Amino acid sequence: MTAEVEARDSHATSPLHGDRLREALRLMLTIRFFDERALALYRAGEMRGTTHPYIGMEAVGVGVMLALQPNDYVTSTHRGHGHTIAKGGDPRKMMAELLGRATGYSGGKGGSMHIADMDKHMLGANGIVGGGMGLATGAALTALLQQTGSVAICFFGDGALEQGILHETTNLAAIWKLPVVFVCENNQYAMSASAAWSVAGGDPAKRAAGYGIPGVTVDGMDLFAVNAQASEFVERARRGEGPAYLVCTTYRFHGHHAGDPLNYREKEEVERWRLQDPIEHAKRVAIESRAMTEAEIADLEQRIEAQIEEAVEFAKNSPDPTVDQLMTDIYA
Amino acid sequence: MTVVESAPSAQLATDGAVRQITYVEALNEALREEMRRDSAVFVMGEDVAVWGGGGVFGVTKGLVEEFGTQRVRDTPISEEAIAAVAIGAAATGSRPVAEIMYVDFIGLAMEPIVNQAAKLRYMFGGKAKVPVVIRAQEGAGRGNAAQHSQSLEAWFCHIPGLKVVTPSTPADAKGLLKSAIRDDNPVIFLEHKVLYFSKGPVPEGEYTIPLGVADVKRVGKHVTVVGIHTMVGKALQAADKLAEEGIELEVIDPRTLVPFDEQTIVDSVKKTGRLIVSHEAYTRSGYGAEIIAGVVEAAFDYLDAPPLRVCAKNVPMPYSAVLETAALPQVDDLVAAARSLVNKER
Amino acid sequence: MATPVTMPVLGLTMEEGTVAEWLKAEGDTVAKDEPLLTVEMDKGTVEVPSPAAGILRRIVVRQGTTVPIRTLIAEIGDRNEVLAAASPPSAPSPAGGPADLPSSARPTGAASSAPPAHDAVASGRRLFASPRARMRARAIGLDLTTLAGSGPHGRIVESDVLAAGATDLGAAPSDSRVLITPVARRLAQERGVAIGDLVGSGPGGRITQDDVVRAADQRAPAATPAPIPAGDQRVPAVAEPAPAGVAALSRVRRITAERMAASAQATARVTLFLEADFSEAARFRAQLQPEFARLGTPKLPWDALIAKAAALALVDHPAVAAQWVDGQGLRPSEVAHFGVGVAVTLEPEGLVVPVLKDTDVRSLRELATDLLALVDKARAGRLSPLEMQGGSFTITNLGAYRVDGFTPIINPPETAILGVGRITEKAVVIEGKIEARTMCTLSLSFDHRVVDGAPAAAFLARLAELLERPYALLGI
Repeated sequence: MTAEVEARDSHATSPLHGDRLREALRLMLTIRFFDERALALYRAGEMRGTTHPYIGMEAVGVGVMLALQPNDYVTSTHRGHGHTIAKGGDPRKMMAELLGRATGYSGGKGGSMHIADMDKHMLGANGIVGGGMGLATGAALTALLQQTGSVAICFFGDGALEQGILHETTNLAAIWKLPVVFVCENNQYAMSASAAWSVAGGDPAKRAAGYGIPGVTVDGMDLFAVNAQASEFVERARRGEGPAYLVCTTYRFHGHHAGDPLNYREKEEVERWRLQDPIEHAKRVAIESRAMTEAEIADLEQRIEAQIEEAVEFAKNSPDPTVDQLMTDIYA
Repeated sequence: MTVVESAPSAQLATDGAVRQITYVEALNEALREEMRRDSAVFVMGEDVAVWGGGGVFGVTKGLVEEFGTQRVRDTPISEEAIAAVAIGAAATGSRPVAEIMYVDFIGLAMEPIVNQAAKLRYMFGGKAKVPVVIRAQEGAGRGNAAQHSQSLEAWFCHIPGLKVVTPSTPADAKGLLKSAIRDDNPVIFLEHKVLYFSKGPVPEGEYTIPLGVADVKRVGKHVTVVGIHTMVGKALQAADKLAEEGIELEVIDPRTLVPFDEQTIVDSVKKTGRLIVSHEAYTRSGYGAEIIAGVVEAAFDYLDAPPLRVCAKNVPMPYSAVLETAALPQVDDLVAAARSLVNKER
Repeated sequence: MATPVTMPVLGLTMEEGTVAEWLKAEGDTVAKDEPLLTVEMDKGTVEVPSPAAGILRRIVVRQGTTVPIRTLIAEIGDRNEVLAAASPPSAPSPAGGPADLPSSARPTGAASSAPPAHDAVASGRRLFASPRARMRARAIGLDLTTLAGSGPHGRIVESDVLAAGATDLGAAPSDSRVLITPVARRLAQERGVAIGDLVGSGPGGRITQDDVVRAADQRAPAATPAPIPAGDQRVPAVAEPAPAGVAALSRVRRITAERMAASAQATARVTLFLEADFSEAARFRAQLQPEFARLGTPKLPWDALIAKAAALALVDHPAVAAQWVDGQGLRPSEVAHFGVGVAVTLEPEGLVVPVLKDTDVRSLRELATDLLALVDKARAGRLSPLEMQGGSFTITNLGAYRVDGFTPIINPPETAILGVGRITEKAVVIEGKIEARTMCTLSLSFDHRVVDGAPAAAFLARLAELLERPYALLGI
């Protein structure tokens, strides 16, 4: 166990140091606190529908996002809070959307799974497994046609590995050399379906070879490893060399969604993975590299907590959408 | 209450002569003109570039020669990706025209059409825009059998967020495709394989036809007939026959199914008191049922007889010519239906 | 499909008619236009032809019953067809009507005698009428329960309503624009509540039973049964029993009395008397009659000559044929040719006016033949409605009774009437000498609202001139 943890020295060569590491930590903590608060709201009965916490997976979203330029595109999954925050999303508008308020990102019309920040090229969380694949590939096509130099990141889970659309979009991206990087957040469970039995052929990254594109698996709990590999693939795509598969092995500390009975995982397994908490790892590296002191980290955590609380207050005090908004924005 | 009296060409703003071209040629012109007008417009689909003559029916003929392979893209057989990628491109600043070769294949593409294209704008609180056109062709009558002969417009009419267009003449096809491409919403543009070869008058110059405006293709006072695709032409033939008996049909082509120009139909029914809706799609849960429901709600007091549907039987389209003809609504079916309404048999 | 037979509209002012005699029995075959029944109306008894060929399936209104115009009185159908549910009861309430059991019962044998509207409400069957038919009926205040439907399964459709109702859908009397449930309307009649005074509390402003009850209760309680509200065309005349010593009015007497009084009171009647010299006309007639007889026309009635003269005089003086339209003004005569009515006295009582058509252009022999036939038909009570319509002028002859001049009452809606007195020899002064001449007093009553004395006199003078120089009557 300890050996695996210590093996993570990718930070040594990582560009994520100093300010950038502080930014990474801030983003990861914001994600963590946001989703913990969202879970609490759900359990308190204050939130409708459900929510899909990203807790434990922060290194993937943040690691990838810090490899991007502002005009690069991102498509997300149902588990989209982490991607949204990492892409620069506003926790207040996110909270308001979770509580169905008019001040939310989607005016209360989308909810947790349909938060998008189009201005920041965050093309939305998506309630359909694999729903972002076409969107990301299409975004890459626009980038190619209009020669904007943008790259598209398609986040998806191990559950989406078996959707036909992955095959179709990978193939299309490969033959057309579209600037899209497919990032599989392999938290090893698709609801209750363990990747161990549901993914044929074992290592999903190996499938890339079938398309003639590169495929790499990295430790998704290691911010620096994720960032390094993501940077390589993004730049490769930006150069016009086409798509790649980046498989990040990670773990969700909580259930698939709030209210998940979690009877398909062993507690011991969860404990084991908690020892690899990506935030703890990033904190340690920050302290060791003197990017931050413990006090500064504690201070950061307090400020972020306050920020999240303020976001909740903002959301709770915001008005509901009015019924005359029901039929608006169906069509442009 | 006014009833618009028009022949198709009367509605078109023309700045030149009118010439006779086919439905395919009209679509081709629309694509070419819009691609010249806006560099964000591009075409993708199976066999749209290379296949002899440009596309299985020639709709994309000559486009790759003029615009190149970047903007005229052949795809592998990946209907879901064709639609999904076009939708993603549309959401990020392109104006794609994606082709699904036969509407029968569009089932594979339903996910991105229904769950992404139709809903992105609404789910994102008005912040997204998906200006994609997904073209497909429908229709029976050529012995293409069950999996290549359907008319599935009702599927799309059901989904809020989509627009659905079904032109029946070359002039309508061209004007509406241009409008569809310029529309900032996802438009399902449904053509008809038999109509592809029909010829009709098309104005020379630049023109568009707005979505959501029906066309009264023949004025009459006894029975309103609303037709989709080939049933428009069959209704006009039925009207000629019935005119000899002194029964006048008013034939209306809605042209756009969503948004639907209900007012034109209602005004007509207020005049005639009798309604027939006719499409090649199966009778059950076809769009005809929706049209009738709307008209009954709006003009119940004006009905002198029950509204009728003259549509395909609820059966997979058979291969044999005899059976296919029996499965489809024909001119004689329209004639008999109209007579039964006027003669107070219904 | 059953063809409805309704009480026909036989004259502009006819409001109701009595079924005088059914000429066919239920089950009889009848040809189109074959005489089906006779109807007694204010202008006399009239034969009504069958509107269709088929079998007289059902007589709905019995002999001797009076019903409003357009009421269903019979049905003609095919031999084997099932009759429509023709007198359904429940309200043609535009909101849709009660969810009753649909009627599939065939009406049994004998004709019902009561007007269908009242009977039908009681038996609880559903009315089938298309929405469009209901809408049209509402607009003209037509009670759908009075119609038989020509649509499938007896559905009343628009054409049934249009056939039964006014063709000008905008010209309904004010009362008919009121939305009222049939139950409420009947109640209003019974309680003597004027419908036009009510405000409806039902859907769409419909007057309901409650509205009527409330209105009725608010008035002082009436000791006697309320009179029939004026202007409601649907109510058949109620015959009150006459006090002792007074004979009850026959229908004809009553109608004649009403019409004569109405005409006399409405018009500004002035009568001009002119003594015309009929000597030449008498010679003229005497010479023509044998020639007429050889051609099959037994005689040349004086009325035919006088009618011809009147028509030719109208050609010169068309203002006499203009008509007064209440509240609007004068309607000038727009006919191409003038019809002249000739009053015929009936036995034991009554007056009927068959009309000679196109009198100004037809030959004397045609007019004579026509008049003889019309008089026969009139006396036999077999005049058709067409034969009693189309007149612009009337002549009425009392010459057989030694009467010279009189003041005939104008035949509405005409403007003038010519009374003809006895044709007899009289002493006349010609160039200072007394001679015996055949004279006749012509009495022209005219409506001074429409035409003044001088033009009326000019017309009369011209008429007399044509009779004194009768050769012009030969169609020169």
